[in-house]
Amino acid sequence: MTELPELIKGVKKRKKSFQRELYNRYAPIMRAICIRYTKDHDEAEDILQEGFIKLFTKINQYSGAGSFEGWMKRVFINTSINYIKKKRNILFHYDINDIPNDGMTYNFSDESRYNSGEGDIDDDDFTEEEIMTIIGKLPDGYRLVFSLYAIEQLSHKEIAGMLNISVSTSKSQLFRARKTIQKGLAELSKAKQEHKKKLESIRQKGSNLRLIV
Amino acid sequence: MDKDFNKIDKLVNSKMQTHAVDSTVNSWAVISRKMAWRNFLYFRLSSINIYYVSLFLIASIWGTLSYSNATTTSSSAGSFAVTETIRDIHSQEINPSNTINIEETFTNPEKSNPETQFTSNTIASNETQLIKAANNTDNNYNTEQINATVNNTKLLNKKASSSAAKNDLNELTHKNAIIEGETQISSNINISQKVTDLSPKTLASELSSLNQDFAIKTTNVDNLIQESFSTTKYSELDFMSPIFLENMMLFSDNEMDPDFKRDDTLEFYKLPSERTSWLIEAYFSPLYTSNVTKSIDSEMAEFINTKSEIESPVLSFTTGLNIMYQGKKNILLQTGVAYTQLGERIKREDMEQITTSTIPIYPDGGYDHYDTITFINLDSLNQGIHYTDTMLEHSWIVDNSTHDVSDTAKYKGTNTRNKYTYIEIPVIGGYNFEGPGFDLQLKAGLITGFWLNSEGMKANPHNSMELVDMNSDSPEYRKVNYAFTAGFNVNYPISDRFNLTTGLMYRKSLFDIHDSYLYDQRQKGTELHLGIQYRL
Repeated sequence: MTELPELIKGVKKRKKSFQRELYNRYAPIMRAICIRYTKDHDEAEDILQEGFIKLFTKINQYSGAGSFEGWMKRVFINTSINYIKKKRNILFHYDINDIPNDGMTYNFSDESRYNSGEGDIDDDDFTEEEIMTIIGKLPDGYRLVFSLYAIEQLSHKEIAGMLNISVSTSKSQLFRARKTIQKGLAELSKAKQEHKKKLESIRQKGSNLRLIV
Repeated sequence: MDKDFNKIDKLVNSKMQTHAVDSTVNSWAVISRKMAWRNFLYFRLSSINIYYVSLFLIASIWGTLSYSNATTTSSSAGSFAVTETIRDIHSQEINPSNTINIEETFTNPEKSNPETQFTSNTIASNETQLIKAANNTDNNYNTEQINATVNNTKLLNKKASSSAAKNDLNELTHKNAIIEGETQISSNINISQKVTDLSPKTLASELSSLNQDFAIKTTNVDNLIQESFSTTKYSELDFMSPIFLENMMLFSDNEMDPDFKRDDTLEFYKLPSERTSWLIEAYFSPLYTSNVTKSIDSEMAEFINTKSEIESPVLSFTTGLNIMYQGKKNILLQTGVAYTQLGERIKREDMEQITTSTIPIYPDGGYDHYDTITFINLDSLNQGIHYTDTMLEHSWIVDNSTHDVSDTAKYKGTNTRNKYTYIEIPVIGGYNFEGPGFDLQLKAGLITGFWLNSEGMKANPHNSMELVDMNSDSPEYRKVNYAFTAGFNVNYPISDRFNLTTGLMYRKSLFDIHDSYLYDQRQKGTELHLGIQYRL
């Protein structure tokens, strides 16, 4: 396997073999990023192709400072966000602190109302695919902000600049995203526990039967 | 709650950092196909690209036309030589000083090599020899010697056999029976030497078809076939007769006219490379231009990435006057003055929501359902920005009851072009390849650009998604910038002094367009050169 600096050099010279090797090495990770942002596999495929073409044509802009994988991820994230912008307008539900009190509204500062009481979440309870499924069910605005904050670890200011929204919108979207994910994880955990119990009872019944026999 | 949320963040982060999904089988094939085209349009020394292919095609066309014209040239050379020969015959008195040594020729027949290249005088002198030999009743010349002379004449006929030369002869034949007579006689003598089935009547009839004014007598060719020239009555063809000479003078005024149209073949032989000349050129050329941005500062990497996302090449122009010197050995030197606009397009779909409304959130569970209808506000398009209007039909579904809210939102986009204006002075050298119908010039050189102004928008270096005026934040554009240029031109003459010129020239800034700024930006472009040249 070619060393990364050598690989980058070859890609900068537009050599096809190096481009292919870079693609083989990083395509699965980048595709996962694309799916995370667009949630549609066909769209993710289009974004992946567009992203790699941009990468190959603009690789001379990578000056060598900072991580190459990080730079590459940013290319794909930007490509994903731009793709989504072109295809559909992303809706952000604005901060409800501004709305008149004509219904049952909530102030985000009232944390007790949002305590789901579902208990601790264990890392080992969930697979990557299950996490992806839960994230995929989020609305566009929630999903983008949450992914950029929790996974790419950008600040609200950076997210606001990237998505051209206010910092407060970014915060409220993140809050709602976390709530939704938390609920989703809790339901999934509950379902898994129930499934486990069922399996256990079936096993016990089975072993009792053997004993009888 | 923060603790719970932090756990969620941590959980998702740990799972997603290493998450990978295999791409589809055809994915690389699609990328490879699209990159093949992009690589072909990209100039690299070490691989085939559109620039090499274009040059190869032009060189092939030029080479093919040169070769085919060379063949025509040879034919014209034959006709030129024949015409000139005939002129020589008519315009010159036939006297011994114009002939080669007959004795030498006849005693040394091996010297009379049919493959020898004949000068016009040699051909003329051979004709003269023939005539002299025919008139010679000395009987000193044997058949072999005469045959040698006849073989030399065959060479004349070979030259005359090319289609161009034949055409010339045919043209002249109608006007000048003398020429016809001479060539006929030459060819007939040739025929009579090698073909035995040519009857005397055929030759006689050919000779009798000559212009009646010459009163040329027929001759008995039997002896020509069987005997040496000494027995021929060739001498009956009296080229020195007064009638012959009188008519020769009559026709010579036309055929010997130096301005006779055959002169153009003479003109053809003047080697253009021996000319040196000055040319003035005026041009207006479309220029496909963009920029290349870099920074060694790792903190600028994200900004540069975002900047490149919103920028794209734009069609601009350059126009000006050049003065060119084409010296000996086809060397070119060129300078001039030009007004050039470089730039790029800024295009971004913003998500700035201009108008908003409030949406109530219901705490007892439920889900959000919305439909949107999106359309572009056409009135805004010509302002360099555009608005996308979105109508939302928003519903919050709770326990099978719905609470409908209608809402609208506006989203703003930007689509504008940046301009960097320069007065430029190019200094270019090159080489001219002459072709039959056009010239191919390869050029390279330096452009000195004096900055006039810049206008447009740019991504804010401090907030990459914000667009600000290009001149904000004091970018300090260099007053003088330098660019390298290289490419090729094709010049097509439309008259003696005017040429049309076209070609492709690539250019790229050698330095950052800023004196000192947060990032390095250089302009590049490809020019489709269109102009007209006047030779002084």
